[in-house]
Amino acid sequence: MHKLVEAMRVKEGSVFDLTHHTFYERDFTFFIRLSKYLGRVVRCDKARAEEIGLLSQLIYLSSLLHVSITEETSDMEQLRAEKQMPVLLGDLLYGRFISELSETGNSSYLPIYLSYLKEFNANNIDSLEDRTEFDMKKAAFLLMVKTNEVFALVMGHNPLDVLMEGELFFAEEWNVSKGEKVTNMAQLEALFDR
Amino acid sequence: MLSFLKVHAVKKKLEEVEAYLDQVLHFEHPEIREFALRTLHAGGKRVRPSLTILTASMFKNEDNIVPLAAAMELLHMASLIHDDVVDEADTRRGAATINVLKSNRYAIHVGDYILAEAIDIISKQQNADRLLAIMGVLSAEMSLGEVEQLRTTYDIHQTIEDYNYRIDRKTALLMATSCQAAAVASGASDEEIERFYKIGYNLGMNFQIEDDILDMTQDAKKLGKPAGSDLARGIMTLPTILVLQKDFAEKTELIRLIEERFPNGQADVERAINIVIAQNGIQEAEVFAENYLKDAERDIVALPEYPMKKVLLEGVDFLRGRAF
Repeated sequence: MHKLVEAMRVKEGSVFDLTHHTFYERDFTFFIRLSKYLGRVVRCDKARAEEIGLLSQLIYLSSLLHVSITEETSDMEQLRAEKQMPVLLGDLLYGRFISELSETGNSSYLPIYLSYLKEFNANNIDSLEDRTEFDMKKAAFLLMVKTNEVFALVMGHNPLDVLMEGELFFAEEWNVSKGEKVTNMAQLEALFDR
Repeated sequence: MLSFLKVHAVKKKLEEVEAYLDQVLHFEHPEIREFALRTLHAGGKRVRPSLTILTASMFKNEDNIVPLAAAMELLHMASLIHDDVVDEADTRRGAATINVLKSNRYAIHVGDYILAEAIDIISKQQNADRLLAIMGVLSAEMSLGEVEQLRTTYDIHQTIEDYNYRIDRKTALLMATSCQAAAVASGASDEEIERFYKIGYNLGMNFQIEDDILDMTQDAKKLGKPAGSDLARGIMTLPTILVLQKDFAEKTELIRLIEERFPNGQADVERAINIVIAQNGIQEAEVFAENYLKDAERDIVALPEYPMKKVLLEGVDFLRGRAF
């Protein structure tokens, strides 16, 4: 089982219910694919590139869940599925991000990821205060920049050199297709079995 | 304020923690700063940083522990802000919640920002890698406890094990980690770290059970909310779970009240509470609470003669007589 799928497990017997959310293949795979690409560009060890991909993907999904919260709900089922669970599952993935970071010996990159988190949350508040527009595409771009920084740090490269490659990948890959809608865990597992 | 916090050494350190928190929460972003400081100044018992300070003092490391103690309070603050969204709470400590003043998403983003700050502080402490591993597990497990609580609302078939799973993660784990992290940051041995983890854990389990008992027994004025607010939301706490395991005349009525989700509102909740009390649910839950306290006390007594050991024992005595 791919580590991302494993990270989304709740208590045995329970499943992470995706049916109430509008998530696409891109939402689960973009940063993993970006990291594979950047790993080749900087000639980073494949396992390390996969680790970084997983870290960025976990943080992205946590962010995505937290912006997908519904404000008004009409019944208990909607309350649970569209408000309560996205909060808690976003928190769960954040916890798994920190665990993964420390278990894989990548905690030196924590400042970069924390800077993403602070910018992400601050930008969202600014957007809610109508001072700016900040959507998940901008969030993904921001995280792409930070992921680039991580790779640059890993291999001792100039971050600006890596950034160009990341921007190219983003331009080519992000808008092309978000892929199929992912509505259940079996479909998610199948994504990574391909 | 908990009596053991009046001990000068702990009180002085807590004042330093408070000043540190005030300083770190002066974020550059104006609204995040405003709401973070608002949350801080709303009060709170500061139990978790107190445990961190006490544990560190056992290893004569209290002078270096202020940032870590502050981080434990920030983790708690962030979790409370998120809890208020999940629970649709209007007030917290008498003040309007961020989700009511602004919106749910707004509150989540403020909580996430504070959480990031907590992790940032922790990452700069001694033995940071080990601390981060602990925090990752803590954060994930706390979420799992809340998910499980949601999943099991109005479920009359829950067992004591199900309840323990939830409160372990909801409360005990953060208190255990508050002690554990202090021991790790103080360079304690694995055995010592485990010992303090268990003390914090048992104090936390007692704390939550007593909290759940108070929710049913304390009058509304003192609680600041209607009695039985957990039960009203379908959260089965220990007194109710224990009673549901018995056979008695009003059992059908109790089950109906719960499964129909208290159709007559507070009147039905109070009827359910009265049934639980009449069936000794409270007394039996008190026994569980006391057992956890005895376990903590036993482990504290078994500690070497650390300077602040007596203070921890006084804390146990305080929890034994606890009320709002």
